[in-house]
Amino acid sequence: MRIGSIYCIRCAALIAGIFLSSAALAEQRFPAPEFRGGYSMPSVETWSVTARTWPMLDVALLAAALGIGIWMVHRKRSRRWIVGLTIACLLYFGFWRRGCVCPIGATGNVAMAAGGAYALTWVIGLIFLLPILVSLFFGRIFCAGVCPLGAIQDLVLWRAVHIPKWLEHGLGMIPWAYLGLAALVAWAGTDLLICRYDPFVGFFRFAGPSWLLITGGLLLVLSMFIGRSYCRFLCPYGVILRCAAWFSPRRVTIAPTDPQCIDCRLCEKSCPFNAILWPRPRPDARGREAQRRRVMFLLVASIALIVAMALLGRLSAPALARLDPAVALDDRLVAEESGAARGADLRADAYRLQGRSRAEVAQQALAVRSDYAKGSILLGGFLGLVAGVKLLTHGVERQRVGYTADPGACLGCVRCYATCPVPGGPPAAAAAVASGGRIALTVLSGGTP
Amino acid sequence: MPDRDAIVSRRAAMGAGVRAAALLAAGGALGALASRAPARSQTRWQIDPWACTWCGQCATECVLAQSAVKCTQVFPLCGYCRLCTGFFDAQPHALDSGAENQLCPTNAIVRRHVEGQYYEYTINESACIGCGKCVKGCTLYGNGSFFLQINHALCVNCNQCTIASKCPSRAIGRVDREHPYLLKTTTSKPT
Repeated sequence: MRIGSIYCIRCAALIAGIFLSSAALAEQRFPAPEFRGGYSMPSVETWSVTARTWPMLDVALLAAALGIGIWMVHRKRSRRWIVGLTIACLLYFGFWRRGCVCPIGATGNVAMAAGGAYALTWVIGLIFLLPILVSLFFGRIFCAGVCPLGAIQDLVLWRAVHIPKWLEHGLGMIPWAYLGLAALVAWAGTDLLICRYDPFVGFFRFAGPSWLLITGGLLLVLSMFIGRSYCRFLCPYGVILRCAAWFSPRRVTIAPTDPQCIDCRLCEKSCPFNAILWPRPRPDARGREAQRRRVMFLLVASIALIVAMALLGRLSAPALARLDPAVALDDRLVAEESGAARGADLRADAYRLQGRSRAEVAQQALAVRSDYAKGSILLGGFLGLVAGVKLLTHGVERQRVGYTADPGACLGCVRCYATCPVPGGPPAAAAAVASGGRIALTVLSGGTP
Repeated sequence: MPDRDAIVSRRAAMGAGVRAAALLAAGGALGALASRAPARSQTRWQIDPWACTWCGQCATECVLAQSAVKCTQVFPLCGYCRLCTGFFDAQPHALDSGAENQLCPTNAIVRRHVEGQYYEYTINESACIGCGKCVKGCTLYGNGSFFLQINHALCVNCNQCTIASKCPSRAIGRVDREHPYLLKTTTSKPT
């Protein structure tokens, strides 16, 4: 073909040109024509930013929703109202705002800003901080009815299966590891893992990678039985709120008049999230002595754990650093240079097309590797500390009066409120107390009198 | 032996202390971080056309069903070539818009005769999938007036752009919301 052969010659000449001048990819190869026939050049088309985001409005609505949530959980004490808030927040923060930016994902922005790779804006800072501040004073109100990720799981909860406490606490370590890893990766400027692996945001956008949509679907199916499985066993922001809620003065109080728990255990059965603590007597003298020894042992063990985990973190630094594209490219080039890697690689091809120097890539990778070397020690130490504190809190057997909601684990869904038969509570349960006392309660709770 | 009230009040005092410390720490940290931020309040994602290497992942990695990345034609840079290397396949059978002659898999480039040897090439936005095949042809063998940009009427501005995470050229970054396009104004990279 005539055209084909001319084209090939031209291409060959141009390719030669590219190799001769690798600094500039495109040159003025074909001068712009001078039109004589009155051709008017169309203007370059750009598309304005869609005006569906008002960041300060989002912050204001988040604050308002949290405020309403506080009132509903602590004053109104009504599950029905909270379901209403849940649906409203799911519709706005989820489906209308398509799930971005949420406080969970903002954790990554804050960590990335701390590392200097990103400029934090007030809006994202406030979105991250508001739910934590509320949690510090009123418990996990954000989880109760504002978070769209929690909402979508809570609304599908069908028949709660109670998992054993040891499993609950064991799986409860996963979010800490996820938080630590995501913070490290964001701090090093690599990626925002929490946002990329958000399993439900695909539903809010009606689009997403298929594997993530399938994961989200499976989590929703799981959440039909194991209530809010993402919140309890994955959510990295939830553990921050959990810590804040431990110190909150205002807590979810199951009995409407404190402290008149009658140990009927109805609330325990009503909680789908394993968040009800049992009453515990004050240990006797021998128990206290054993506890003192246990705590001493656990303290030493915790320190050993922190050191061991920090070492483990340091050992895993090279593997973690490979998450960063600069390190991955350098590794690939090293492998190519030694002949270990052949075939096409998008990253290496892009590097060659861009004409960057090998030294620049090596230098970038070195800087990232040193960040990960430092950060992974901290990550390991942090995970050791978390495990240590968890062990210590389980080693101390504090006295507890009546059945109470664990301030850390309680998501503020207030399902337990309606079951409490203490006078001042809901009329149906109170009537059961009035008519049959404890026997009726025992029957009501599924036991034999 | 401390009585229950004493324990309760001790815990309350500890809680108050922790809350105060947490408030101070949070306020301080946020203030320090935000004071480092430039005045711009919002960002959008955009492709640096000089860093892009047309790998084709923009077409598939966007979270949207149809990618928000589209090809842009900057007419002042275009050579209006009869044999456009962004429009035609490497070995076209004829210089017409037959599907077998085109690079574009979706027939998204409209070729129109202007005068003499000159032809105008316009992108049909709704058909473009952002695969970058034309960009590669135009940039390697032509003037580079075709390049990829994120269309902000479609982009949902994810907190972490999934294409940016996958981009082998690391060409996608955050830009000021007020100037959300990085358009080429010259045919060679400004230094």
